Amino acid sequence: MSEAAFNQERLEELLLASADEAFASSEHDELNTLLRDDANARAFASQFLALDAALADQLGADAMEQRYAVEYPTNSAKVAPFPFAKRALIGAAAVFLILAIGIPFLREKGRSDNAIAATVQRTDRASGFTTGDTFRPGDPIRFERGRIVLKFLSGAKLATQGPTEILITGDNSAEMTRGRATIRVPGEIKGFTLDTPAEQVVDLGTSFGVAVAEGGATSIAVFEGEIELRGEQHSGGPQRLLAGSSVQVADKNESPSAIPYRFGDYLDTWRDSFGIDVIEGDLRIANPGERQNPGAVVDTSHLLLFPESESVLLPTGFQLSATEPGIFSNERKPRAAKREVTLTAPLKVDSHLLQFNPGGNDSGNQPRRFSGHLRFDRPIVGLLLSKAMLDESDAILALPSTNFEGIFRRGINVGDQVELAPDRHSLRISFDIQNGVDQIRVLVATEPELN
Amino acid sequence: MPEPSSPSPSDAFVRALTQSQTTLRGYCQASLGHGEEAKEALQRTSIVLFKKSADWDPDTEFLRWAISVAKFEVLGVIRDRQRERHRYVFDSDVVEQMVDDAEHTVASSDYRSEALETCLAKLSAKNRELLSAYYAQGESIQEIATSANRGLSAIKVMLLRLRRRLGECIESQLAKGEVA
Repeated sequence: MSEAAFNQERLEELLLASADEAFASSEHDELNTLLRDDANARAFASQFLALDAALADQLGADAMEQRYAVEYPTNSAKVAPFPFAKRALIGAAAVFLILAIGIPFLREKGRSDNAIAATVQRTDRASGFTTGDTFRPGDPIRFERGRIVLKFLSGAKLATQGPTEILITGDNSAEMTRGRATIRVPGEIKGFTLDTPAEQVVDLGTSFGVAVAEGGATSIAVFEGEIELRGEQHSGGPQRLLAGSSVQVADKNESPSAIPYRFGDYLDTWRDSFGIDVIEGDLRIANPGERQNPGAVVDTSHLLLFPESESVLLPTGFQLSATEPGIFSNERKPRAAKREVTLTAPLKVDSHLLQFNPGGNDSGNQPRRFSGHLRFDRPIVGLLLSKAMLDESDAILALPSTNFEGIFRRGINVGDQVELAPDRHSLRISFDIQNGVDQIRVLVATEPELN
Repeated sequence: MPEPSSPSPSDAFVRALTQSQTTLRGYCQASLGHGEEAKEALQRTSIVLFKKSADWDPDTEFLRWAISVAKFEVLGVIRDRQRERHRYVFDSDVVEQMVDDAEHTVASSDYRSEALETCLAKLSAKNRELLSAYYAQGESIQEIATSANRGLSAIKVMLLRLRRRLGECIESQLAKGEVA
């Protein structure tokens, strides 16, 4: 048995008690605290509960098959054999089939080195792929047209457009022999490795683009952070590349050569990697350099969408301006934007900041209406529309590099309108901009919907 | 015209779904803990899988697809908690953590029917009956203790000890390769 930092016996007692209606509140809190704080405890609990389910099915099937009455260990009282508990009946039919037919896939189930390594998070006209499709090491991915976004078990995201050929090699690695992709490695994750016929790219906390041509020649552009090139040609040690730089490598015998940095070549897969289906009208998505510090970005022609922190777990009690579809404006009710919705359960979100910033000297600006339409591949689960909420949420939703000093008039102001469509995926924005900076936050569910 | 010599997609689907019930149930229970929520997630998963049955290609592995649907339904169950103020076995943030462990558990552990059946067969009749009363009959520990004229703690200890023995036996069976 492996060493466990947690008290395994106590965890077993708590899990057993949790099946009882009389599960005490103190035990509930103790169990949740234990699981929340200890990955080993969670793994153990997971196995414990899965075995419980298997036992219920197996014993239920046996009982149904044998139709015997249970006799308790120390007395002779018989218990009525039927009807069985509903939970046992559910599994019994399946287990009878298992016993009668056998289950090849269960016997072939891989061990930990062949567990699911990546999942399709988003598809766009890529034939044969569906959101939720899963891949294990050794699984190939090929398609000629369309785009997909893969999310690796590590959290790394790879957005690619056809024609593309990729081999999943691990839960934080892949091999790409053809195609174009944006790879983003959010948060603290590092070490995502992408092999191509000409180079090996290892992220050091970053986002980067890779294009592999027929024959294997590889172009690499670093969007954020830095990467290391560790191909066979780097016998003297890895070569580091910083954000804003780009190289091309002909094959494994050639050293990389600098080429002009062209982020525009990767705009589609960059947008896909954030789950943005549509961004139109006076809207545009921030490029990687802009994304790192929205407060410093001035654009007099567009509302900018800045993807911010991802997979943020908003705690119970967190306050939002809105969570339901509707039209939000403070035109008639100046304080409408201050109405609050309080979360009654934690919610995991990806955050996006929508901003208009015409710069400091804007007093002479003429009133102008900016409007646009945003559509995400996942539901919009919350809006932050007031300055107070934006200020309070900066600490957990903004990127660490962000500095909003000197940004005033955040939130929606008189004349602004935001409409969250009933399907929750679309947002229509109409900002009446006269002066100052307008900002709102759009929170999207981290997990995709399955269509 | 349908081809009578091969099973229709719906036949193959129903068989795959039936065969996967134990694993799907294990996934839902490992994510949400004991209680009605795991049953609800399993039921929702089965309904969604039925509705999307035409999407499944019988030449692809059913279970991987089914687990991805189950994960979404588990998260849907906890999203729906926002409408009610109940105390659930696992808090929502813990479920968010457990779903990943559950996926690993059902994907990489081998609670195979053959191994479990072999190990259950090695138990004494008394011990097997105790497990059956709890798991198959749905008796509570208190009910078992009352019927058996034993203390509550004694039954708890017996159940936990039997589970440990079963877990060790399954690992041993798989390590020895006695179960294919």
